[in-house]
Amino acid sequence: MKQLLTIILLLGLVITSQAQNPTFSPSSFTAEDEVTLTVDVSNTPMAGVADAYIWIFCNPDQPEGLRGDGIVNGTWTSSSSAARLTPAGPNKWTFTFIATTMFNKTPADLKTFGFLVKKADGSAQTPDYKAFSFDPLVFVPSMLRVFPAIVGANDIVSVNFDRAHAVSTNEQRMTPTAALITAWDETGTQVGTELEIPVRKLQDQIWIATFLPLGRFTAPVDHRLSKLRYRFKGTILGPDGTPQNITSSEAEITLSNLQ
Amino acid sequence: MMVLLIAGCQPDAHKEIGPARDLVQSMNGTWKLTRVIQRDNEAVRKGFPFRDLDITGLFPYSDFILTLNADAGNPTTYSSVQGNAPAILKSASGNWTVDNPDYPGVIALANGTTVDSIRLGGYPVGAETNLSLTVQRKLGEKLVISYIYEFTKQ
Repeated sequence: MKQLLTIILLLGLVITSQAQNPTFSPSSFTAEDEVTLTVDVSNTPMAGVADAYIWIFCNPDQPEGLRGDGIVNGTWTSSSSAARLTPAGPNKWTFTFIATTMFNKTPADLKTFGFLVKKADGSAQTPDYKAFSFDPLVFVPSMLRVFPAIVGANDIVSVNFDRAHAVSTNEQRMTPTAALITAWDETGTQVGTELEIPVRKLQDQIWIATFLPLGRFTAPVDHRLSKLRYRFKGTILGPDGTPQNITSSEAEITLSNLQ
Repeated sequence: MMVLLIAGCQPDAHKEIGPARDLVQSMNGTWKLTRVIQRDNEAVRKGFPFRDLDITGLFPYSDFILTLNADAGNPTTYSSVQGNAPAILKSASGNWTVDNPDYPGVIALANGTTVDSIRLGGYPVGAETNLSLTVQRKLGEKLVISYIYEFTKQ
């Protein structure tokens, strides 16, 4: 039984580690947003190479007519200099692009994309990394929302709880009283302690809490705030009519480097 | 009758239009921050709801006072009092310039190599008495957030 549990745990770790490669900043983006991908090519034929190039393509899971290659790709045996990846540590590379420019397609025609990492002459490559979805260019209301959609650590940030779009029964019945915020640096280490900010009512069914991240969290020297996580606490009425404390599910905010 | 009417016609005397508006001089003085709007430019560009949020009362923005000095219609120095307001300018004092003295669109507040380039949203001339400055925040080249600061002259 112990061996079985160990195997399940290891499989879980493998799946988790695979799910985190590549990563994207911001973590969600539309076809019109600038996004930076970071990929770790360890344990692939591209491990240890000095120069790496991207081969990027759109809609790999869509019908043939919607697919296309990135304008930077060049040819398979001669990548263009624009496809060169930026080193980001041992076997790690980054690349920044805007999909509508990269694929010369409208947002409506861009559903997903994929890529691989290769040598300029095509003599070595990674497997395909695919398919990653673009967020739709339509407003999708949700229970948890951040305003503005893209923020930096020294911007005013407002987190919203929209009860009209709550999913669970408790969240549908919940009256929020405060937002609970945690901050994290680029190494994934929590910064400071959880912050509790009282909410105010923005409009019917929507509560909001506003704060300045750098005013409330101080990153250690040589580190920076890279993301926030937030949830809401509040009350529901129990069967006997007395208030009971509950918290909502949690969401994450990537802090961008705004200038 | 017609002859009398025609003979009575005289060209209207047009008054002098007066001196040109001195927009730089109109900004000269001490300004108190009275309103702050945060705009999600991504939401504006995509036509999404929740585009603007009035954050004036959420932080002590009314502490912030900006003084712009001008000499004979030329911008000279500036200074600011931050108080407990969230940071607005990179430098509290220095020199200010405009991109076009006749029709200023961007005001630059500089101290050494540190420069804030701020868009002018409205001139305090005529019926308009407020000064509106917009600080833009960009991700790469893309405008994502605007802070619209409205000042009232002291």
